[in-house]
Amino acid sequence: MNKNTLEWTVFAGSLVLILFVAGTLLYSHFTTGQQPPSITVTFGEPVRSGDAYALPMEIRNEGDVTAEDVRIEVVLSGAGLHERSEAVLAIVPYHSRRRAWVTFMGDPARGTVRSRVLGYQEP
Amino acid sequence: MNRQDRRPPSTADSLREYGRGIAGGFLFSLPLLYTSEVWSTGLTTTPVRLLAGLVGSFVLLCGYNAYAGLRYDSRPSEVLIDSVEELGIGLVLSVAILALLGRISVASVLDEGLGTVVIEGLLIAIGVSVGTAQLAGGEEDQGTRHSRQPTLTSEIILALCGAILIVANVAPTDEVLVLAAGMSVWQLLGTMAISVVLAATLLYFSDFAGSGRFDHSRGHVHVLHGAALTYAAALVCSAAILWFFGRFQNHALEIALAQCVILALPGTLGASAGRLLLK
Repeated sequence: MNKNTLEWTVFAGSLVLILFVAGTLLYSHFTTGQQPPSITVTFGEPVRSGDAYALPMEIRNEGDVTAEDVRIEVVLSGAGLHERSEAVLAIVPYHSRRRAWVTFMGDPARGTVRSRVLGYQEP
Repeated sequence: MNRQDRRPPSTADSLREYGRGIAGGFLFSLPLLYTSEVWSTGLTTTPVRLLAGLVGSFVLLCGYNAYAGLRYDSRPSEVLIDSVEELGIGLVLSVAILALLGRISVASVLDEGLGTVVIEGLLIAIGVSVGTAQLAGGEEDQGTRHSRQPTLTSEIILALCGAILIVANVAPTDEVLVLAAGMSVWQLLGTMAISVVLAATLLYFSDFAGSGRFDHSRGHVHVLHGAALTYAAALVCSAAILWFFGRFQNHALEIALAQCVILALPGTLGASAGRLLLK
């Protein structure tokens, strides 16, 4: 076989990489079910943003199917506050998370923040 | 990377071949790296589909290296080794360029980013294979190229390689589905007819480089056979790549077929160019 050390090294690395990718895909195939998108939202600490407050959110899809065009409504209430905001995410892949922000005029730290997934579609 | 000389090449020679391969990989697949539909397809494609793509691409690489690669006398073991190398290089390049473009991160590459890496990597690998052979220069490289006699198998492999390089850049776009939903049966039949005529014209009547062996004076049946073979390769390639990108999912058979016909038009250009230009 007329290969030099560099070429054997590239071949060995390539073989390992391909087997690793194929193995990972096989593992994923046999361990992933068909559970529909399961989206949960958790909030971080609000930060002041100009005259408003920006509230970070982490959106997780624990399901086995990707969700597209995910619309999330966030309502701030209590302590004399009542505001509604909304976030739209183009795609939240299965077993993955995304980070988004919503803004309010009132300080979310003073009231209660609730979220609701309005809808999404499967690819 | 393969060669006729049985002595191991110098490291510099190997680096030159890898350089050509990398150039070819980017040259033939760069549009896909900048296409958002491909990124999102990577997030939604099932592992089984990705595995099928991995196997299909490897088979195509083996075919290309066996019948149309840089050298005409590669042994089967060398064909396999070269194909593994090209697939590996394609995957590494895919990771590198997607990370550079900010489409994947260290945290996502083994999770949600893996699909995108695999899809882009497969297409880059085919570009690497074609680039290594087609972009070669120098007397030694040229000397080995003209010794290969075309066979039906090699013609089919060349047509498939040429077609896939073109259709892979069009198939992920939403426009194919939009066109399929809006075109009438007569328009689709017209598209098929134009595709076959295009193949016949390119191969037999345009005097393109490499068209010497496509002689129209051998009769209409010969021309029709060559054009039909080219169009069939484009059609098969279109169906395979549309399935791989999940474009048949949840659609009626008519829409799926319409997409194939629409994609086979540019695919025919690629298949014809493959038969004419790839060596």
